[in-house]
Amino acid sequence: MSLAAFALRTATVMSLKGSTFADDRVYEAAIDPINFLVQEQRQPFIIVSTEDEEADVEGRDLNLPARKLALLIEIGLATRVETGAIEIPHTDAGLEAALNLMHRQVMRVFLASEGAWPDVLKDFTVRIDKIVSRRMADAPEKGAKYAARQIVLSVDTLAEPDFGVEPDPDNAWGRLLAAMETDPDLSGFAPLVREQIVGETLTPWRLVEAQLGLTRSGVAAIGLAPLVTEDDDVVPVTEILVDAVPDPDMVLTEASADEQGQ
Amino acid sequence: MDIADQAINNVMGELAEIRPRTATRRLSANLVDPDRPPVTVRAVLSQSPDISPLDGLRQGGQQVSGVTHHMGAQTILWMPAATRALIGYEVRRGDQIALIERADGPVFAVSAVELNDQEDLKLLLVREDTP
Repeated sequence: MSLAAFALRTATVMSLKGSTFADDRVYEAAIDPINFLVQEQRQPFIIVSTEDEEADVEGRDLNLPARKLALLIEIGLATRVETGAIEIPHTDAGLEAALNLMHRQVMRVFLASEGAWPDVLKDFTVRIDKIVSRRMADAPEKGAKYAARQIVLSVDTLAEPDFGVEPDPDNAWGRLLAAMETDPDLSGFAPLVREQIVGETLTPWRLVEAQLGLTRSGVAAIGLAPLVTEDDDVVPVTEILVDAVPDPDMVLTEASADEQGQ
Repeated sequence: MDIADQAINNVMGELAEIRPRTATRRLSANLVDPDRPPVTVRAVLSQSPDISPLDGLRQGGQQVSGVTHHMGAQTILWMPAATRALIGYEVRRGDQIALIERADGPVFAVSAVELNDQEDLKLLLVREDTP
C-alpha cells in the first residue's frame, strides 16, 4: 500500500540481522514454505512482513493520514540452539524458552540498538499502539517439532514522502536511501525507490497542487498557479494593473511591489 | 498375519538404531539412558509430506496473521510385534532413532508411541539435527 511499509519492513529486516539467535536467517516475507525437513531451515528464523494497513483520510490527504500498519514478526525454530557455552535443548521447554529469549532480542533491536538501520527503524515507527504475541507449535503430525510466535506490532508509521521533492539527507527518507545505497544487497534497488519518491521534480506551486490533490483550476483559484496561455505556456507576471476606484490608473510593478513590501 | 508383517518388514525395512534417552534437568538435553542399551532393529519408515500453515496445533485465541507455511512429513517407523519383542524394553517418547543405513544418517526423536492390537509398534518421529 505504501512506501512507508516498504521502509519499515526493510529497516526491520536489516536491523534484526545478526541481532538474535536467528543470526542472518531473517527473511522478508515467506511465500514459499519453510522446509523443516532441511537442517538449515530448522534453525531459528525470523520472517518479517507488513500486513493490514488502515488509515483515516481527510479530504485527499493520502500521504499524511493517521494510520495503523500491522508489522508482523514471526520467530520460530525446530532445533536446539547453541549459544556459546550454553545449549538450549530441542525439548518442549527448550523451544519455549528460546522463543521468549528471541522475543526479548527483537524488542532490544526496536529500543536499544544503534546504527544506520536501527535509526531508520526508529524513524519509521513513530508510535506503536499495540503489540500482540501469538504462540504456535506442532510436532508428530508434521515430522518436526517446532515452536513459533507471531509478534504483531500495530505501528503508526512516518507519513509518505511528498511527490516531486528530493528527500533531505537529514530526514528519515534521506537516511533510508543512504542506508540502502551503502548496503551491497540493496544499493541496486535504491535508485528505483528514489525515483518513486521524487518522480518528476515539481515546482513549488505544483508541489502544493500535489499535496492537496487539487486540479489545475483548483490551485489557480487559490492564487497559486501561474498564468498560462491557451497553449499551456507559463507567462511570467511583470506587472499587474488594478482597475479600482479611487485610483483607476494604479500600476503595481515588481519594483513598486518591492517598495510596498519594505 | 505375523508372517505377512515379517515379510513386509524384511522387504521394505531398513536398519534403525534405537538410542534410549532419559530426561534430566529442566532446560537440559535428554541424556543417554544407562538402563536401556541401544538396539538395532529392522523397521519400515514411511513419510507423508504436506504443507501446512505455521499455526500448527493452535486452537482458540486470535486468528493468526500472515501467509507463512511450512513443509513437513509425518514420519512413522513401524515394526511388527516379533521385531518389537527383540528390543527387550519399551521405547519411550524422547528416545532417539538413527537410520544407520542411509548415507546422511538422519536422526529422529520419538514423539509418540502407538501399539496396535496386534502389538505392532508404531513410532511417530520428529527430525533432529545430526549430532
